Amino acid sequence: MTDASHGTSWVYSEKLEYAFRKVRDIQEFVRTYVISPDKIPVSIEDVQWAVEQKYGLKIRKELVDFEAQHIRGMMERYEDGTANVFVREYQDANKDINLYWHRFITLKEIVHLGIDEKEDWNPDGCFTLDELIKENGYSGINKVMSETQSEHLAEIAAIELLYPFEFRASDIASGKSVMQLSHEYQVPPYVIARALSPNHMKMARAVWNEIRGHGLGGLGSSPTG
Amino acid sequence: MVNVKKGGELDMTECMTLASHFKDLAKQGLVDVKFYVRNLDEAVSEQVCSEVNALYAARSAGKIKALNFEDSRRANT
Repeated sequence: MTDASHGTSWVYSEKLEYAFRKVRDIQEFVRTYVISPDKIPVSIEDVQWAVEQKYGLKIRKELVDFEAQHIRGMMERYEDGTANVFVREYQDANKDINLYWHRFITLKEIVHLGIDEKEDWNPDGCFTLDELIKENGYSGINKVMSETQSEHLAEIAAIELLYPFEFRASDIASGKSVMQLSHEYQVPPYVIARALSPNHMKMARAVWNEIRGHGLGGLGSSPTG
Repeated sequence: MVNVKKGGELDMTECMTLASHFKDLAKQGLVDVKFYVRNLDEAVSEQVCSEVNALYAARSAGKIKALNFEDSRRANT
C-alpha cells in the first residue's frame, strides 16, 4: 500500500493500517459480548469496556468545567494501567451537539489507549502541544512527528468506530443531510462531513479492503461501501 | 519566554507552569499525555498551555462531573 493522505499531513501507511486493524479488533470484541452489536449509535461505554479488557486498563472519565478556545479534551496514561480522560464540558450551544462532541472526544482519547504503541508515548505534554501547533501550520507533504501522527490516527480511528464504514454508502444514497446523520450516529456534524468526504472515503475503503474489515455487522456485511 | 520582575525574580510562564505540573505527574507514574485540540491556526503555545492549566485548575477546584454515557448494550451490565 502507498501512503494515504490525510489533511495537510501524512500518516505512514503501516501505522494507518495498524490503527484500522485495532478498530476491527475492538469491533470484534464488542460484537462478542453485546446485544444487537450492529445497532447505532455505537456505545461509548462498550468500546471503553472493550479497550479496558483487551489492554488491561482502567479508564476514568470526567467532564471538566473550564473555558478554552483550543483544548477540547485530554488523556493521561499511567504506568500502573490507569488512565484519565478529561473532556471540556462546554463544546457547543446546542445541547445535542454538545453531547455528540463529548462522545467523540471521549472515544478519540480512549482510542489512543488502544492504538498507541510505547514509542508514541510521551509524558512531556508541553512538547506534544508545541508539535501540534507547529505541525498545524505546515502545508504540503510533511513527515509528521510521532505526537502529531498519533493525534491524526486516533481521530481517524474514532471516526471509523463511531460512524462505521459499512453504513456510509447507503447513507449517501439516502440523501440524508449531514445534520440528520449527526443525530442518527450521535456524532458532531464535523465527523459525518469528514467521514463522507471523498478523500476519507477513498482512504477508508482502501484500508478496509486491505485488512478485510467487516464493521459492526459481522462477516456477512460488506466493507466495500 | 521568561518574564523578569523588578529585582531579578522570574515569573513562571504558562508553559513553564504546565511543564512543571507534567514533571510532577511523571513522578507519580504518568507515561503519556494526549490532547484533543481544534482551531490551532492562530494559536500560540502560551495560550494553549494556559488552557491546559485552566483545565487542571478547574479539576482542583472540583469543577468536575463523572462522565458516564449510560449507553452500554452488554448483556451483563
